[in-house]
Amino acid sequence: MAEECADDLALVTLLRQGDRAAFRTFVDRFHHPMLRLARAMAGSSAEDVVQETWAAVIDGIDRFEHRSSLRTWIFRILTNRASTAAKRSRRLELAGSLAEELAADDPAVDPQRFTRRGNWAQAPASWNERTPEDILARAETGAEITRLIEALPTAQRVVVTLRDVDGLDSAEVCEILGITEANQRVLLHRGRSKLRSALEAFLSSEGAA
Amino acid sequence: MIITCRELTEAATDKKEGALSGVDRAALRVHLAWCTRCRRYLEQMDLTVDVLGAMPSEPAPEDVHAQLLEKLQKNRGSRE
Repeated sequence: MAEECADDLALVTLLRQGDRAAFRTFVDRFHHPMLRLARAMAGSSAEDVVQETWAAVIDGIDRFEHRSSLRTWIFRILTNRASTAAKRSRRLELAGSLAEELAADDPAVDPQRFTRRGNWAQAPASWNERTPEDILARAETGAEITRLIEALPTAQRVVVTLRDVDGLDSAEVCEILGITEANQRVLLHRGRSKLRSALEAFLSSEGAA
Repeated sequence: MIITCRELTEAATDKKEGALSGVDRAALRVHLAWCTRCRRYLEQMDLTVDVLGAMPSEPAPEDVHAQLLEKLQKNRGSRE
């Protein structure tokens, strides 16, 4: 059955045969992740970027050679379109933001929370909710997290979205974005650290930042 | 090798990614054995990642499905 095809090869075969159920599953699988990534990279141009990407994917699916995964291929098309859209709207695009972000000093935790010796002065606050389910079940948390992700600097936002929200592995993200593992790790670290801090403020009764 | 709490917070992602040297991994283990605050910090970093991974995805809206199916069929039509 089309719905059970996790395998790229099988899915692409069905798509080329014009299997409508497979196509529907395919669209459902990728549309939301594409929109998320497009928003991370191109903000308000996201819908246009996704539309252009889908058009290129549909046009190109017959020629897809499985040299990468379907997902990598689709996301690469998207990042190219998003880059073009960012340039068109004069928005700082990924490459530019990346250089800026890497050059900046960006500690994981506010340095004021440590003693001069580097030990905790103001310890991590206890969170009222301790599991992902409980955290997401709090009213508005999903929307709050989306807002927090959107508030990250561009390159950190993109890496955290691909690695942690979409679950891609490090090698795939580096391939899609054209960055080194080391840089990817720095961006991931900074993005995650900021989100942890923001969640701490959101979830602890002490409201520490 | 001594590691401070602050240094540990900066090493959190390298640790999770398996990018620490053997020496650093050992130093972290020693620190975590006595430092409950850093244990809590790492738990919170892990929980943050888990929360991100649990963010729900949505199916595509019906109008998107309709639009894309139309394009697919148009493509096939122009080929036949």
